[in-house]
Amino acid sequence: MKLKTTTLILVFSLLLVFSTAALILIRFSGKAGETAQIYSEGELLYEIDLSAVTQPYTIDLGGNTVLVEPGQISMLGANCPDKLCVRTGAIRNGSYPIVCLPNKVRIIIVNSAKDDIDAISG
Amino acid sequence: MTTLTAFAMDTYMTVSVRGIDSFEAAKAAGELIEEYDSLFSVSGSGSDIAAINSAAGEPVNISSETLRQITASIEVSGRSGGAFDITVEPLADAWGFSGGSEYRIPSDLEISQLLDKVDYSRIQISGNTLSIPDDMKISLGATAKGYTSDALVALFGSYRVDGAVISLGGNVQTFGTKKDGSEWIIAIQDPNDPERYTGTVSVSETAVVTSGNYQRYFESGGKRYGHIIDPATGYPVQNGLLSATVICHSGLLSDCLSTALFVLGEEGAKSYYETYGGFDMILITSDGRIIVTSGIAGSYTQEKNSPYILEVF
Repeated sequence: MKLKTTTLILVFSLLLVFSTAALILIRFSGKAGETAQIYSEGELLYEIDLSAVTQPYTIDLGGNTVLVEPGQISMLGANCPDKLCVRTGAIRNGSYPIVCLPNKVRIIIVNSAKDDIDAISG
Repeated sequence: MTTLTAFAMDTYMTVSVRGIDSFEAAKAAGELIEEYDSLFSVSGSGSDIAAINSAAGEPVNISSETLRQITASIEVSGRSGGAFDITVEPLADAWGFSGGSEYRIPSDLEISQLLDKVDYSRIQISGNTLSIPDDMKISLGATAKGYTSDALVALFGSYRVDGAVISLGGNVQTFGTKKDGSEWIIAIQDPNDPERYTGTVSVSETAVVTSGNYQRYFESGGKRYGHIIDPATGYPVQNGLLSATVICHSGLLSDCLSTALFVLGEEGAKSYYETYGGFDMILITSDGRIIVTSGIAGSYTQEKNSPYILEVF
């Protein structure tokens, strides 16, 4: 599992460098749990099944550092003056997001098991 | 269950596979997506499209995968009176909707000049070779995802896979059945509020593809400019439709048709449906109606508190 997490970070880092190349990622997903989505400037950069996280790890977004832990996600650091996103603390469910306005970063949690919907066409 | 996520074809993809071979099947799916991503892209050395667009009118040998998409496109172009046209690429590019270029509003003069380069009937196919006039360009942006989801379904057929749901940037296609044997539930996104959906359809093995100008657009001077360009006018489609969803067994056909019907508008889409059939559709209009064809009306469940008025056609 540790190896998989490391691979995930590596693959996502590669995305930032070679944004035109296809990026493929495969994971086993047991029961679908809470999924965190990290957006930068409106673009979805990461989607993380928090229930599948066994070891904490960080994601470097340039101006922000995100801490991913089993079942929760938080902003560990930010280069913005107000640090509101860091002060939000860790989120575990979809009741509120973590937002860093100066850097246009948004972290939300979506419950991927919501309703019985298998996919959204749109 | 194994889930594959991919950033390819300019979109975000998820493929969930269930069955004994789910990991092997997902791995093979990833390899196929990677291969098709470069083959169908508008740029890059491995791309059929880049080769065609830079051939200066000379015939180019293309893969059977590209040829299938172009043949299907031309058929829908003919049937829709040119409402669907893969040669609209120079206009999509001028508006900034193709690859890396910046969003901008081209001048009327530029648009009328570029319209001369839009004509699917000038695509020449002979065996495995294809040529287009020197100044024309094509793109598979409206077919590649549908073609790929068809190919994934075919691929899963050769593995011990019981069920799979493929979402290539909102192009949905299903394979097999859910774990409990029940039908797949596919939600239709609300064009006015993409975080919500208007309702759901329960379907067996099929494709569900939606086109609408809410998916990609830019705003300028308080006006919204969407990514689907009307090949007749050269401007983003603005005809009273917010989205067109097509439900049919073929992902490729659904992909072509959803764009064609969106460009045709409500009346045009209805007459296309009556003339050719073979699919079901869901149209959402800017005056607050959701039109569902009779073939799937029984499987459509409107969301509670939906702001849309349901009409069966």
